[in-house]
Amino acid sequence: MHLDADTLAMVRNALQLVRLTIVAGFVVAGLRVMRSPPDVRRKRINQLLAYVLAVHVSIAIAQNDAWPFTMYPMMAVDSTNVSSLHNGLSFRVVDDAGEEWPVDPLAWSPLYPQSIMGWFEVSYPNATVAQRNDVLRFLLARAELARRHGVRGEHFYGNAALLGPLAAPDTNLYNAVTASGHPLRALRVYRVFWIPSEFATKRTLRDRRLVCEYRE
Amino acid sequence: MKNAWDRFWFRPGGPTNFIAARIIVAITSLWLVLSRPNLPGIVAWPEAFWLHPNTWLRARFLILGLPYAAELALYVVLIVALLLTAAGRYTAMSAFAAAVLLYHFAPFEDIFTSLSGPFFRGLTACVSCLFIISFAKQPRRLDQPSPEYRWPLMLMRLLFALTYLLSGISKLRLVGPRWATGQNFEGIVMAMMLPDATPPWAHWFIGHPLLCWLGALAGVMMDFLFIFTLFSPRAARILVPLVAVTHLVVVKVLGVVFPAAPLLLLFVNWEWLFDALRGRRDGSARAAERFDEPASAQSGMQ
Repeated sequence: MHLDADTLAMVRNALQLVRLTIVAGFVVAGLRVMRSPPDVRRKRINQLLAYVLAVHVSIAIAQNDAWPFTMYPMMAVDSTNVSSLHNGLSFRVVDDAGEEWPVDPLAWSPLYPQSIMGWFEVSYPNATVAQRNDVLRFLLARAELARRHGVRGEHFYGNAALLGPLAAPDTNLYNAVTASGHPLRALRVYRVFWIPSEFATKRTLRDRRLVCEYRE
Repeated sequence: MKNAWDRFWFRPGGPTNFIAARIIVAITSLWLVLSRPNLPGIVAWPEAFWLHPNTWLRARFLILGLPYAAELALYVVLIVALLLTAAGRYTAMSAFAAAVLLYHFAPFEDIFTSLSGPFFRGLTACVSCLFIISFAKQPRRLDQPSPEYRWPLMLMRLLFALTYLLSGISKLRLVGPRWATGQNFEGIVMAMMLPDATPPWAHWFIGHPLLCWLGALAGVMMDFLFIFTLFSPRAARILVPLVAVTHLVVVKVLGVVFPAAPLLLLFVNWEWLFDALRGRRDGSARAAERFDEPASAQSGMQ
């Protein structure tokens, strides 16, 4: 079934309400259990259990989430073609000396770089020049703060400020980074291209293209 | 059918496992919340970050345009509510408040890009479990076994076990049986070797079909067998430690962390464990009487 863009947007918006309603249904069923007199309590508990089971059957069939009821589609991908070209974003900061450095994963706490990459994938193309500059300026300033922490030997700030080494990590792993000794002057966002089978053995990229650069 | 249903959900259960479950859920949530201490801060980020989440998406997660100070105050309330839940004080109210606030805050990590919820950030089962804790009758340590302490515990376990089963069903629906091949597993390992982050053990699997087949089979078994922990203490004794180890290996091989892993502790039979720790070796037989189960099934995991 083909839907035009407006209709698709309307369906997506309506689905958000449906999802909220599904969660609300769970809460209402639970509250009915809480407030139930003894003679109907078992019946209401059964209704709550049946509701939860029905919701999960529905989302498994529809493959559509109603978070916190979700189908957990983690790694549900066909990765048999390892010779196709993959691409992704990569952040680099540039210091006073003109040298490029990777960004500290804690720099943009509470978000991790993967979430920020998402913004560049989804929203950057639709943002105005002013909006893009706002975001890049903000991210550069945060990266500079992180660099200062790093230079002072402070490893636990941002998301790790309270729990230190015991803080829960992001769901993705990040390589350890070292901080530049010079103040940061620019943030660069690259799109990098690689072929998985090639990268796995030779660690080489096919291409790296500058998406945008913000310089102070 | 009705008997099986009643036996599964309403067989009398002691209060200890439910109390332990409450503490595990609250502490896990607290760990994740305190690991993002300034999560409400994103409401004060430049407006351009908020281009993607429209009114409908924001409304779904109760993001109502409150200022940063108000969101921060709510975050503090969330932390207090989780502490109270863990301590078993005002539990129904505190668990309910924590569940609602967690439902509101958990999506913040993905709100700039995602149309769905943060299903893999560790708080999915926590939100549902906190609601369930709030709905249930609150146990006291010395209460007699009761169905009131069984159904909420089993529902929490079911929701956590569905993490694996539904993930397996998604793989079958979206990819089909070829997901479970060594070739696909090797492809996933390669795909997770990203230019900015390469998992340290990934290279062990590249070019080693046997290891890749083992990885694929381990994934399928984790997804489709874990549900049996709900029905068999023996299955739980084997699968829960195996799955815990698998999560640790996945971090090193695929670079993917499963922050909800502490919820595996929901499957430990704390009642038996505490009895054993107190040196009451007869606890097994006594508990077996209580739970209407063979004594041989009463150990370690329930």
